[in-house]
Amino acid sequence: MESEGIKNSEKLKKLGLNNPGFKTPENYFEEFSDALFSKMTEDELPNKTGFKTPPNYFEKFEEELISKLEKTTPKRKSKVRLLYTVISVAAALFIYFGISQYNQQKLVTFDSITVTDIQAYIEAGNMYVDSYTLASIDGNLDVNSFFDDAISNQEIDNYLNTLDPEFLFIDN
Amino acid sequence: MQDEKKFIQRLTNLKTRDKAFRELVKMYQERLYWHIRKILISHEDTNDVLQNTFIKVYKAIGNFKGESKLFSWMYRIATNESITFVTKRAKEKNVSIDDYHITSIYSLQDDILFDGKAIQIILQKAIQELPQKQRIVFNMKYFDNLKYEEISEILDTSVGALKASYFHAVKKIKQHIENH
Repeated sequence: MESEGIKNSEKLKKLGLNNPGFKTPENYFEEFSDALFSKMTEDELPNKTGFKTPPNYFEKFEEELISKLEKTTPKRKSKVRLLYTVISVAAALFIYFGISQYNQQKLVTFDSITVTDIQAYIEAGNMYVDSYTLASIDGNLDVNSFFDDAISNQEIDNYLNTLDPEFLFIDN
Repeated sequence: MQDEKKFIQRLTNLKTRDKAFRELVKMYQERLYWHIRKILISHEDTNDVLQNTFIKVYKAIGNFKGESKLFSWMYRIATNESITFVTKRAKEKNVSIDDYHITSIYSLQDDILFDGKAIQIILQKAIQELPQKQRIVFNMKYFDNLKYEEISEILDTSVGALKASYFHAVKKIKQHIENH
């Protein structure tokens, strides 16, 4: 440190010697005792913990992790299945409000249906969406993207392969 | 390691995510394992927490802002997961966190996954008797050879405070060893 250097140079002057001009790294003396103390302790102590792992633990870890990850991460529903859910809900709401407002001679559009109307409709027990379906719908889902993005034949095939024949019969 | 920014892009891109994640696991599993093991002592507990750490990393990588190094971020998650695990277990056993650490060392001599000498058992006992923060700082500095600046980024603590923690930890450990 600079102050140490000044002190040393004064001592050297008293002894009739010139300042040799040496410098120490910044904070050298502040850190020296810590470093020395640590070094002394390290010389006395083992630097290994003594812990071991089961044989081939790290070779197997990756596969175990991926398997656990797959179990904890819900699979994304296919675009076709989501489209089916969204259209079903939209159609049910539209038909309900269309019929209920028919007598009042009002033009029903999606814009004319308020959130309160939908809440009242659901609370009255007219629509049941199970929690699995709700959980599978992405919160950031852009419904318009269904119509903007083309759905490939492969995606449709994948979706159809997940259904049992009975469901297909009802669907059609 | 390859360019970190590009690697993070691969981790966040749906098409490349899974392959990049496997590479990430290979790169860091051992370092994180030993970091957690030194806190939890038991291999089984360490395995659980290591898996949870990587699952958290996988799910949260999209929120990683790159303000710290990926390595520091993962180390922090591993540390937090370990502390949460200990807190939960201590609560279940109705003991303090410090007592939980001390009792965890009792079974060390009979643990087939520990082949330390007598001095290593004494050292581990001394470490487990330290307050939690000093214990973690000591392990990271002494065994993992991390720089104070790196530990500071991981634990979000000033370098000065870390030096003080390490100094006190070494002093207590030395005293413990002299008494045994």
